[in-house]
Amino acid sequence: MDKKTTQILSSFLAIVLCVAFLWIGKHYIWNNAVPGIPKPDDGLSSELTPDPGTGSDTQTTDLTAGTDASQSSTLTSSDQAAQSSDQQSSTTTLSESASDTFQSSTTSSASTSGTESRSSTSTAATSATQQPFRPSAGYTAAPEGYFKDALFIGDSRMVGIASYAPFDGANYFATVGLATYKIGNAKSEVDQKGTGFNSLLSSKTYGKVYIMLGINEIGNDRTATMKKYADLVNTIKTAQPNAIIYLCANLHVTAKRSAKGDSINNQNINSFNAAVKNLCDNSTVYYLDINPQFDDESGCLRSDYTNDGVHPLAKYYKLWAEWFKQNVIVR
Amino acid sequence: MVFSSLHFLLWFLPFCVIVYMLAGNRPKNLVLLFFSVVFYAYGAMDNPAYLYLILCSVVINWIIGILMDKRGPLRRYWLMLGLVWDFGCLFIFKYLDFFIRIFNYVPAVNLPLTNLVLPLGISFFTFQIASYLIDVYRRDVKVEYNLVDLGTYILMFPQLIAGPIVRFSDVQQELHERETVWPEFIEGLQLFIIGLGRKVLLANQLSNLWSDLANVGYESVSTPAAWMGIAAYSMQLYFDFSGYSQMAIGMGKMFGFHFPQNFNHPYLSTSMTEFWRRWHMTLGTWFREYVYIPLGGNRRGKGRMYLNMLVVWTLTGFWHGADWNFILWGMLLFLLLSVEKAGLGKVLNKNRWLGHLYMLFWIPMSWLLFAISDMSQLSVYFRKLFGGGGETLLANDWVTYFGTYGKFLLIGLLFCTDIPEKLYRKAQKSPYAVAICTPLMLAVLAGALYCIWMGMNDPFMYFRF
Repeated sequence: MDKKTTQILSSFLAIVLCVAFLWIGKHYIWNNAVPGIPKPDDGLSSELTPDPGTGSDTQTTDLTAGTDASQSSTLTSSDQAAQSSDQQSSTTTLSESASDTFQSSTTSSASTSGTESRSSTSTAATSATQQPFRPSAGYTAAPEGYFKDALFIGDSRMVGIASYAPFDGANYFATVGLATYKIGNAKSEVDQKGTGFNSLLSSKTYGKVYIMLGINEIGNDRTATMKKYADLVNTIKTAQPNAIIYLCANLHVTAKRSAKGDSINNQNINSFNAAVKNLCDNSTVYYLDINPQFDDESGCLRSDYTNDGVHPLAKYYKLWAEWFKQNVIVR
Repeated sequence: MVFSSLHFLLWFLPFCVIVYMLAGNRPKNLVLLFFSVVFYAYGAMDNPAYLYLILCSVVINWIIGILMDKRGPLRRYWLMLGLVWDFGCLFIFKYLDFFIRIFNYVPAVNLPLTNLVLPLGISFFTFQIASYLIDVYRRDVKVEYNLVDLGTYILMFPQLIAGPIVRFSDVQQELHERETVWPEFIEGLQLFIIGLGRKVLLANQLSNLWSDLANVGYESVSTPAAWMGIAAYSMQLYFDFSGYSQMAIGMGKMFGFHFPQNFNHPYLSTSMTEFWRRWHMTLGTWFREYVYIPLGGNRRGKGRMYLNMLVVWTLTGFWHGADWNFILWGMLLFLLLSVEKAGLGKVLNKNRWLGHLYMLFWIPMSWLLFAISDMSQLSVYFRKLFGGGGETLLANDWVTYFGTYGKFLLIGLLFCTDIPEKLYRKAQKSPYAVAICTPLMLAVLAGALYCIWMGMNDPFMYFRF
């Protein structure tokens, strides 16, 4: 073989090897599948970017789901197609909606006291942190085996609860970064690993379904997000007509995290939670708000409860689960 | 602008290299200086005053250098003035709050904290400037009359914010006359890519384990997980910092400079003494040249030698951060090094396996002090390592952690040795070099870019110091 041929051949070999290295690396080593453990801030920053373009209907299971599903959005529902067509316009509506939802949150916080007054007794409970909680008004402590037919749906905080304080027999559908618009494509990261949402929902008769979502889409267009949320609730109602559905408030973040300047702040969380509360009818759909238990005086997540400002420490996940146990509806 | 950001990798560096290559011989330093100022300005965007601070510093040191060129009794005072300015800046920005906090322990004293943000790279450039002034005073180097050349030396962006601490004598010749030859450029590029890979593909991934433990709470993790955590932290620190140094040295080569080596496989050491000759070597050299030897080194008797070591290690600890844990860390190193000087070192050198075992314990132990600045948390973690420290919530959480991070720990372990480097050198010499090295480099570069793109990125750890 002359020199030229060798060079050409080795160049080809080089290309093949390069692709091989990349393929092995991407699929086997840096595949970034993090099972079980709540990811730190790091993960949050990527998961929390408002991404209205990736929406695919909750009812449709998408086959192309993968780690970089955000790059390949295949199905867009009608309301989101409008948004994704123009990023620029969606950001402007975002800031507008943020300002008017803030107003609605102030009005709704005033009306909170009427229906279920949990907030007034809460400050006393916060100081006695390790004490078992008393049930809030309208709720009772869970009888033995209550969670055997329960399904918990949620984001990284739910992953934490599932990891550190799972209930006997309960199912968890939780992944880091889960959001209502992603749920159709998502695969659970804990408990029923790799199961899709729809197949899990139809696999068993559930008596209780807990939903804790929102923080990962808190900066997105609120109206569209709440529609997704309501769709999700309806899907569950249809699939599990006898289940009690609990909508859980999003946990606040610390004052420091809230002041960071992005969409993850307690103002947004409060307005989101108020909107979630509006979906409740107190006959099949109930609202659960952990925040009074975990808040400091200023209404932010207590800084000694967390390291990254967003996720509670493991022992407080345990406390959180304890609180769930003390606040259930028995029919 | 960190080296491992897309802004730097895709815009700043290529643009800078192209302009530099096109600029021809004369204005090379001017081009480098210009880009370095842009680099610093971008980094100091939130505190624009800091750009003026560093520029002022350069001018002041330039003037003082020139003033010291003349013979006469005043030289001493010029030197002192220069050092007071340089270390004064460092003190105010880095240490003032620490001392105010100490004074506030005195009853009835309640001084307000300054809460100053640390200027980018101040610990590094202060040491570099000081080395220049002292060397000029000692007549070890010639005074630099050209402000652009001196400015290039201090501000050169590859080593501006996190070392290696280049002494003026290392680069003076090259500042005035250098050329980039193609093989050297390629060599530099390879070093840069390898450094980037160490940082992005290893250090960043390992850092997740460490922060996972912190987010779970040290009191709740299991003992094996705690050991894995501190092992991961040790590797993260090494790959992060040595990766950065390697990138700096690589870029230096691309521009025709030869910066001193900063790391020489420190985790292969068999004693702490050896470790600190192989870890952050430029810092060690600095302290030896400008503190230890001027204090008398080991020439004034045993007692004086230990005292000098105490001073050096307290300062080394303090240099790394204005906090008690860093001082404690420095003290621990002082103790270990003293014991080794007193005789243990000889034993360890003779029985290398014993030395490796000894270091296998002390490397993570010393980094533990380095990693956790909260004393109560430190104590929890320490007790956790030996089975105490609070209720473990998940006894087999380490299985999960190992499933996620085990591969990085194993790859990391391999890269702590010199095996990969030896293999790579061998491949470079083989006739198939093009077919092996080129795709490997391209794959590392592409992989690193992919990880950064996907947001698995965080800034370099050593920016804090």
